[in-house]
Amino acid sequence: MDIGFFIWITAIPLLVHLTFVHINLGTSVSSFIAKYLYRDDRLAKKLARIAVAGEFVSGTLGTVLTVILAGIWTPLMNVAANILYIPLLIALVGIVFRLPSIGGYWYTLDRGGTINLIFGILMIIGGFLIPFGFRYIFAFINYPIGLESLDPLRGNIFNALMNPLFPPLYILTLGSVLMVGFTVSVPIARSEGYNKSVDNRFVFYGLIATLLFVIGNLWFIYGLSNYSSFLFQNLLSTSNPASYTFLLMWIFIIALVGIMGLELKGDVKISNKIYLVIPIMAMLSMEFSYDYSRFPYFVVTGDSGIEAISFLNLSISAGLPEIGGVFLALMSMVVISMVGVYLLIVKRYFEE
Amino acid sequence: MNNIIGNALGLSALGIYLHAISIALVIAGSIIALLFEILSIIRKDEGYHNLAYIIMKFSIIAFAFGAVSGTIVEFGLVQVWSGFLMILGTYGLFPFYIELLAFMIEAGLIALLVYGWKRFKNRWIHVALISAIAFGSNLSGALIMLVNSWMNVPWGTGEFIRVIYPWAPVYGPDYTNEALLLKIKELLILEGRPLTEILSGEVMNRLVSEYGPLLENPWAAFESFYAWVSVGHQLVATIITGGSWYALLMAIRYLRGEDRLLRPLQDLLLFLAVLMVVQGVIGHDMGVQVIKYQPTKFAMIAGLEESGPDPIVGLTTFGDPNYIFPGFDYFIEVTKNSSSHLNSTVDFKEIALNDLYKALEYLPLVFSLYTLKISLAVLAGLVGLVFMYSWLRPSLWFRRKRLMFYLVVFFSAAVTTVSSLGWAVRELGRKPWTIYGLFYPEELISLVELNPVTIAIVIGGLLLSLGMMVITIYLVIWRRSRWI
Repeated sequence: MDIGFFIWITAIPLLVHLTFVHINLGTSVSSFIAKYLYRDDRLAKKLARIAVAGEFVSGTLGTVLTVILAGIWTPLMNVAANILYIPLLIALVGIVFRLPSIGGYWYTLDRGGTINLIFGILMIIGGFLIPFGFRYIFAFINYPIGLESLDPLRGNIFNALMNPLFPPLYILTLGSVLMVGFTVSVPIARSEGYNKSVDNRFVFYGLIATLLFVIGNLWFIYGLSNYSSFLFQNLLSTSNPASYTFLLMWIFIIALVGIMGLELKGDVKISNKIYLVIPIMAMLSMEFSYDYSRFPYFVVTGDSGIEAISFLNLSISAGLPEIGGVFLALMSMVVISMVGVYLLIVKRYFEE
Repeated sequence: MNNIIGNALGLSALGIYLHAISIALVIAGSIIALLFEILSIIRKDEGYHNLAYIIMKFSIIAFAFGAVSGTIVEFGLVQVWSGFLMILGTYGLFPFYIELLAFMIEAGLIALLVYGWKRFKNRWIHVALISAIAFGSNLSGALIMLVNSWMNVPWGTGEFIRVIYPWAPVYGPDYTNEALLLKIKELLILEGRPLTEILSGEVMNRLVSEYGPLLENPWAAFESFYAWVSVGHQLVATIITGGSWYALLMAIRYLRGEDRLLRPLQDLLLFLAVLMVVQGVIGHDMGVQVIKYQPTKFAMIAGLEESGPDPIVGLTTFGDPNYIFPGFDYFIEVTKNSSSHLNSTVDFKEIALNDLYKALEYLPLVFSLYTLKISLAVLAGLVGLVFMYSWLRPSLWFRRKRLMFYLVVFFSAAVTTVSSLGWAVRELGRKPWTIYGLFYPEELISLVELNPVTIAIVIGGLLLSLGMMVITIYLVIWRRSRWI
């Protein structure tokens, strides 16, 4: 059983999913700010369009991930469904509010008024409730508090809420979502002659969000040193590839802070591409580092852990070619969807 | 415990019914839009083209909110019935996995078509895109039905169920590791544990390493003829039901003075009436499959507490109105007289008898629901004949607008009720099991007891998504002054 294959077919959609989640959550906040703080309806509309398109891709990939987790990592999903019952329910509440309200926000954006404001608030609250639920899974696999026994499966669903790694991880997530969202909004605000002062505001917000991202990272790393020492040591060990991406993340962060500082000071004008690439690379290297350093374990228990193979669905003798074939077809569809989104938003191909 | 299981079953049923509303609008929407777009080319009528666009807009809105309700139902399945994960990871894996492809085709193309409607000038591109969307949405529905069908007829388990229940048929080739399945069943029965307790731990790993994987052929669910007949039956029912809702909306607008809608409305009603005839044929095949593979369910729907004839079914199926169908008396007798070949410490004979008595309790309810369903289907079919006749005489409704409206209302209400009852019969008919002959609901339930907060979130979420869908449809589509 090639465990690496199954890990990668989970990791690739996860990373693409997270990228679009960051974009759609972040730009929906930017759109709300543009609409209600700066009264710039055109910019709000353009940012909302990105948020909706991002939601479409991330939502589709979210469904893909759910099936992969349930079908391939069945034992892990079984633990999560029972022990992390409350966080999953919170994420579900977030989805219930987020999806309809982002549609409602988009359709009522031109009209404005109280209904649009309510949709906007629900869109943001719902959006941030989703990672509030799902980040508990990540905190849990780094430090499985609440799990009393795997055999038979026993746990305390309320203790699972007390995971000390969750608060820094959530702060870290808030920081990275806002960092990506605000910086991606900068080139949009600059283009097509929108209010000139707004783009600088987004640079400033991006800087604050990046500082939040740094604080979250430092707090999380401190937490790992206390509760998940295996992961912590891997991040610092030069023999583990995750340590290099971890270092890369800090380089991206420093570069981003420096760039934004210079831009705010008025010394230089930074290229739009930099604002699109660096924050997303920082986020991806962060996600990769914290996930890859967990292997060969899937659930880390201090210095040791439970190996990934223990959570793989062994009840079926499906061949790799069959699973891989469908996976390739799925990813092709994802790429086509992304091209469609690009044509829709950047090239405005469908507008007459 | 019974109360918790009852609440969980009720919650799942409600979730599926509410989710089905958006599904019917999407699946029927793509088929009807395709019909109108083709008619727009054949008749060179711009009105049909505009109507196809309106219907596709319905579809995209219903699809978006269907994604919300689908997520709620999906989470509900995993969180409330976490033991079901074992099925999802074996017999259901490939259907669900490939369903993702269908879902992505559907999602991507719906957005492309609606955003690019005016961009694509060639009508045949529209036809090609709508056909692909219809293919995606129907395939998506078909693959989910395939899993539900497996729950009704666990194809690929060979003789395993027959060994416990001697009245049961053989469920296809023997793709299942019977020794492992028996061990799992013994664990659940002897220790009274739900499946979810042993799914993630050493016990399962040890059993798999000792006996091998549970399922040898991951395509087992695809090989069941019962499943494909079910798929056809369910998809046609969905198109008729969703289509009748579109017809109802068009009839309301026609009644309010949009006279240009009459012709497409009559075409739609003719199409639905033809589908009713098709459904009669598929329904017959469905009945034959139920007789063959779900003996207790057929006994329930035919009211056969004791073996006896069912003249109509006997005549249409075996050419003999006096054909004697086995009833519960026969199943009980056969079970009592059987000797178990299982090398097990569990007394499966006693369990098999208890299950029959439990199934028997459902007979009056299932029989009543089924009788009501068939009666309403016949009435809807008669109204369908009126629609066929009126298509040949288009002027019939000019001075009978209101009569036509009432007939459409009745037809829509009838086919919606028939579909709902059909689903209820399908689900209740396989009781006391969730997986026919294999697993009970209490074996698949989660460790966390279903609580009022979960119920409120699931029901509230579903109602919210449904409400938002209706409001969005009203704001974006219904308020337009004219559809064509």
